Amino acid sequence: MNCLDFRRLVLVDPRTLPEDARAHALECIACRETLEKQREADDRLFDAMQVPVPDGLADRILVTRGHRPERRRFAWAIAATLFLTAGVGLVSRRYFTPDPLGAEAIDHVAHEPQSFTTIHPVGNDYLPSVLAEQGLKAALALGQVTYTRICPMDGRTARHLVIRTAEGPVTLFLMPDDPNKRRRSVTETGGMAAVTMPARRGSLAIVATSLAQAERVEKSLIA
Amino acid sequence: MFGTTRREGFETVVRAYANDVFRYLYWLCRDRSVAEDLSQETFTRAWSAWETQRDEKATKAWLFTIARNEHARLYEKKRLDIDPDVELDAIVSKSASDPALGIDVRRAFGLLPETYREPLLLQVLGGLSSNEIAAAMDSTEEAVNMRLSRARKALKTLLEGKAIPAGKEGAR
Repeated sequence: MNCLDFRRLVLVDPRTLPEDARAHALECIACRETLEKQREADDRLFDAMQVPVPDGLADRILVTRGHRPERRRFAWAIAATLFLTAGVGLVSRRYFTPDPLGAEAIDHVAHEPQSFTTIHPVGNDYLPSVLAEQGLKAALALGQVTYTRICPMDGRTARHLVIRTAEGPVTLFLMPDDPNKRRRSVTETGGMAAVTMPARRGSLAIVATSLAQAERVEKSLIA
Repeated sequence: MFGTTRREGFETVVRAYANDVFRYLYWLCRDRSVAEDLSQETFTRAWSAWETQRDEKATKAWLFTIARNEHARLYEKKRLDIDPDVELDAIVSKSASDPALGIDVRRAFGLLPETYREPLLLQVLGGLSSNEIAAAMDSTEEAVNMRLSRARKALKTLLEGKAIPAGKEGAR
């Protein structure tokens, strides 16, 4: 692939480049910078599109359709999160096959190495606000967010964050609109570990260089 | 799909996608109350046609297609008066990391010709592929890719404070 073809692809969709384009970006500094700038522009556009939604919209749609809003699922998600943060998740790891989301998250991190070298300064309220979108908060100060991107994940959109923790960088993929009923799952491959889990709203994936490191971040996230 | 019963599956989809459908419709009509009504209509039609939707992965694209059709149907009935600046000025994003920059981008996005704005909206907000956008817009993947490319160039031009060169607007 040459630079001209690469830049044409970036203008069409900077988030989902084919394998040969991703390989080109690793070799060509100028094209990598072009990609980075276009992704930044798309992130700003995504944020700009987030106009406030009327309160209770989903409930009103369901009531109109004769549905009684279901609360049990939320209660279950909260209970599941508390259960998992207590560290009992080891049981589920033994009995269930890993969620494919974990492997996708690890693969995504491996193909976006600039996430660890690029610094995107964000305000101190950024992490609490994006966690709150999923009904979560950090019980402890996790560290400074140094990278933020809107990325494709499992056919949807995820917030891709890198947090500099005391033990090194940890990647979070936040998917508030993930409709899948996920369970906690652990994936270890390529020298990295991913914990995927449900949140009060949607799902998230935590990717770190060791399972222990990912689980420490997991335990600090509470509903 | 999505649950053990039709009802549960529908509720999961409403909770997952109602916000994005509303935002998509808002950017099409620029009127919050119209966007909310159209969101209701979109899910009413989705519920009616629920049994025809088999591919869970394609649900979002399916909903956006219904929403687009509902918007087009409304426009067939009446021509809405749109003053883009009024609502755009009033809105403050809850999630934009840089609110000042967010408003600038919103203005620029609102100024894009509709033929540019819509595929970009479906891709960036909806996360749809070019193929899915082409299906939703009854167009071809090549035409969609061309519009996406031109849309990004036009947006960059607008954000740099320049007008879009005449004759560069894509045709439907």
